[in-house]
Amino acid sequence: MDCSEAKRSLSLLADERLGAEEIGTLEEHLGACADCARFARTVEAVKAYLGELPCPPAPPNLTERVLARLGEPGSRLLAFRPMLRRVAAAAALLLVITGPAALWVEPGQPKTAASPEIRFTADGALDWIMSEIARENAPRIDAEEVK
Amino acid sequence: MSSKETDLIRRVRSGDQEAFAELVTTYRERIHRLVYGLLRDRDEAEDVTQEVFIKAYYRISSYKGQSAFYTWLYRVAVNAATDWRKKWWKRKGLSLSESPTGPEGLADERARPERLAHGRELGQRLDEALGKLPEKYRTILVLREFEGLSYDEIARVLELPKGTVESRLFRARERLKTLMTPYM
Ligand SMILES: [Zn+2]
Repeated sequence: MDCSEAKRSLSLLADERLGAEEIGTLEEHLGACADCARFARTVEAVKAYLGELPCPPAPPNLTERVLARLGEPGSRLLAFRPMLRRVAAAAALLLVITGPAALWVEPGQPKTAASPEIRFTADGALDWIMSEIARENAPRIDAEEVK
Repeated sequence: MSSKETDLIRRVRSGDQEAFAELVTTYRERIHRLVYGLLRDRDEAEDVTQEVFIKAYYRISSYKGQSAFYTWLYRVAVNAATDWRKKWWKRKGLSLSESPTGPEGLADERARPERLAHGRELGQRLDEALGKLPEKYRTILVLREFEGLSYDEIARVLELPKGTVESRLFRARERLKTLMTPYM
């Protein structure tokens, strides 16, 4: 068993997911490896620390406070604020892209020279707005971690 | 999920606030505990817990009933705590390594004089190290070690494959070990 295997086994052991026969091999390794022994101590220490961390009770009037806020005009906005913020940013960007671009084109001149590129960028921004909306409701997964 | 809960959720979907009050009362301690574990700040935990339920109320239509209601609610809470942290960093103009987490755990440690000095110092170091972890690592450690959730439950809350739960927990512990090496 190498150190990488030993540490993975220690992590599984902390979660009670290691088989009995692997525990024997792990113990052998720990007896001879200071670094893995330190890993084992850290895993145990954080388990004990978080496991015993005291938590104050929820405020007794929490339900009433929540209900009172449901009646407030801004509460629905609050629920969607992160999404709205991103959409607003995208909309502002869209304005920056399309607004001044329209001004750059001299009155009376054909817009064809400038517009394909502008349209492409504006479409990109719109796509981005839509993807932001989708992202808000999507699970937050890290692609690099998915096996 | 009990049929009573299914019924409550159906009523909340049609705007019944009384039904929602029952759900809040059922889950407020669990959600407050989770948020407190993620933020470790009393006042902020109260505010964010309120936000969680307000978000849950308006977003209840996105709960499709495929998993237990509490796992969906936990996900709303984890995302709300993450958003709060981001806002906090932005407000303070700090980097990700300077998180708001910290003093409260210490205060609680200090309130227990029977603890050995070494235990207190170790607790302080762990608290600091947890504060320096990337969000996703701190979150998964809190779900596992503070909340005591199983791999299956964590997988459902974070919508991750079980294999990713295992590897993320391992990486979180590896990072923590690196941060804690001078003290262990
Ligand atoms: Zn080793």
